[in-house]
Amino acid sequence: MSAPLIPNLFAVCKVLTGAIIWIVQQILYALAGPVPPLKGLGDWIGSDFIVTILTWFIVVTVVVLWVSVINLFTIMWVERKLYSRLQDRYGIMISVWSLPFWPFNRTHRPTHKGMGYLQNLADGVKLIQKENITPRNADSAMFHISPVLIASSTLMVFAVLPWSSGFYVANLDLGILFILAAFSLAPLGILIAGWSANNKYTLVGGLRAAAMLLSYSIPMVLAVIALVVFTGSLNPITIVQQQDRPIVLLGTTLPIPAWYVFGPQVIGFLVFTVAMIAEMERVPFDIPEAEAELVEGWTTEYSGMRFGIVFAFKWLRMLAASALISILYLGGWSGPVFTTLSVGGIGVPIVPEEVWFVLRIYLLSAFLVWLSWSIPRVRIDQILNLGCRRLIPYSLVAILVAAGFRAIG
Amino acid sequence: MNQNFPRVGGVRNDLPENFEAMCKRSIEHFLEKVKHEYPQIFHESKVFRIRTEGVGKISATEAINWGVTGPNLRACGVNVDLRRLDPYEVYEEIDFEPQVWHDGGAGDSYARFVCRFNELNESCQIILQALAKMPKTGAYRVKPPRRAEGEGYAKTEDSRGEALFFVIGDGDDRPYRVKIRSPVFCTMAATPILLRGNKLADVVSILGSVDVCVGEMDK
Repeated sequence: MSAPLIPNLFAVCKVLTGAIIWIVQQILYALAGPVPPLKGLGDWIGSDFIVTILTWFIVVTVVVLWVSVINLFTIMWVERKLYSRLQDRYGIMISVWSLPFWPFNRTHRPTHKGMGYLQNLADGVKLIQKENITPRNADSAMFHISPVLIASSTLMVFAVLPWSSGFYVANLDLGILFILAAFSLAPLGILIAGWSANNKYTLVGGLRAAAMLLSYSIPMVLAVIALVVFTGSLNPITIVQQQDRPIVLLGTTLPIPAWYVFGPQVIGFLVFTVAMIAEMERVPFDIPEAEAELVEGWTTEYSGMRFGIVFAFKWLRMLAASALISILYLGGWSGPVFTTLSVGGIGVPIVPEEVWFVLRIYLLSAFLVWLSWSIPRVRIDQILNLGCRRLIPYSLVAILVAAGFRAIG
Repeated sequence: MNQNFPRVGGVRNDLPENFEAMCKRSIEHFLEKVKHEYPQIFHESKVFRIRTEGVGKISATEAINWGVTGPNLRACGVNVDLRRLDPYEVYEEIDFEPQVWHDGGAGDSYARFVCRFNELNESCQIILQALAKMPKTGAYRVKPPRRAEGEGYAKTEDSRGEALFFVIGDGDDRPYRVKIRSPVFCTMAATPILLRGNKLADVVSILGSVDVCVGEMDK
């Protein structure tokens, strides 16, 4: 059993909101002498309704920053550095040593030194400076809306995706269903983007994305149905709690955690992982954006920061997919807690749940990066064949197995 | 292919110091990878096979009619290699085996790739033999460009097929006219046959397997 670092994100953020509101209230009360209505305003701000609404804003902001700044940059760095090392080269090297205002002696510090964590930031700054070009015959409104649609539907996943048993925005009973629904929205945005750009390559890319949606979302959802039959819950936190115990086989307790991948659901795990790789358009299955065949696929006509958005959203999807795979099959954030420190009477775990979860996400992402940089791209008809003739039957078998185990008890 | 290093009658510079040791070291490294690492990534990988097997087929007759030569023709099962049929320079003294595709399914992208891949190993063996038989002392640099009048004709087996050179000299140190028969140019003429009946996504694997080099095509 493990313990979260943040027992309840909402409560933590409420303390923060309360502190901010208290400061504002003190200012308003101080000004209430010359301007009497301000006292009423201060009282109204301190009311429970306003505090709750502001807390929700802060909770969402914290999670968006955590996901799309800290984790997105880290996962981009992991991928770019790792595939460079797989190709026997150094890869990105822009880091704090490259900053122009670095205060130390720079003559002995070459600019291209270091681990390259700031390269993505530099690329983002560069992309913001670029001109945003819209093709003359494009459907301008849809062309500009679809990156927003794609990126926001992927961010919606993180509204429900928990990072530990306390670090989440919302705890829905149908959380997994919401995550899958939000995850499957992006191919629609890709289709709109491909159609509206009025370019043959983007159109082919968009239609390929639609074909992939048909052949890969079905086995993905079927595999999740098998898991739901097995677990009897659609709540991610409940699913992780069920895996947080050792396997008991014939009365003996084995030193193996009871993750669903170590059980009959391994079929579902394989189907779900393959379908997820296709869903997040990674290289063996990245046919909507097959740069050797279709220039740059459906992203061909995007420029400037819009290109940055449609390019970075794939890493966001990789983050969401890795998190989902670890929650459903790899035990989520369960792990040994070792020991807790007592800080002012509050027990703080040394290795909290968040660390285990993030570690699992990055190991899984590294595996996906390794996979996609060592396997060539598969042709579209072969992908559709694999989806319809292999994955769907396997996921049906997974449902059958799950139903059998459920019936036995 | 590049005009800055080879000359008519030789090359531009002498070999560097320590050439033999450095060459042997890199060949050792390369052979290690060719034997153990690259086959697993390429032609033993299932994903690679489903992308290349049966794709871009061309029969031996059609290949000969279109002037396809070199590894692309050997992948159709035709044992043709100028280094064996009409040995030039020192190829008579060197022991090597032209890589010809003997099994079924000849003439597709996979056969072309495997032939080229096996040639990596053969080329390393040729280089090692040449290093052993090379004179140990003296400048390896061949004479300065010949001044000659008249016409000359030579054919070589380069990495992509038979390259023919027809040179007319007028006594200057530069030739008056050079006509090059580039193998890639002739192979590219056969692409309508290679591409017929395949999908858009197969263009990449077909063009990759015939080893397109635009600089050499444009001769």
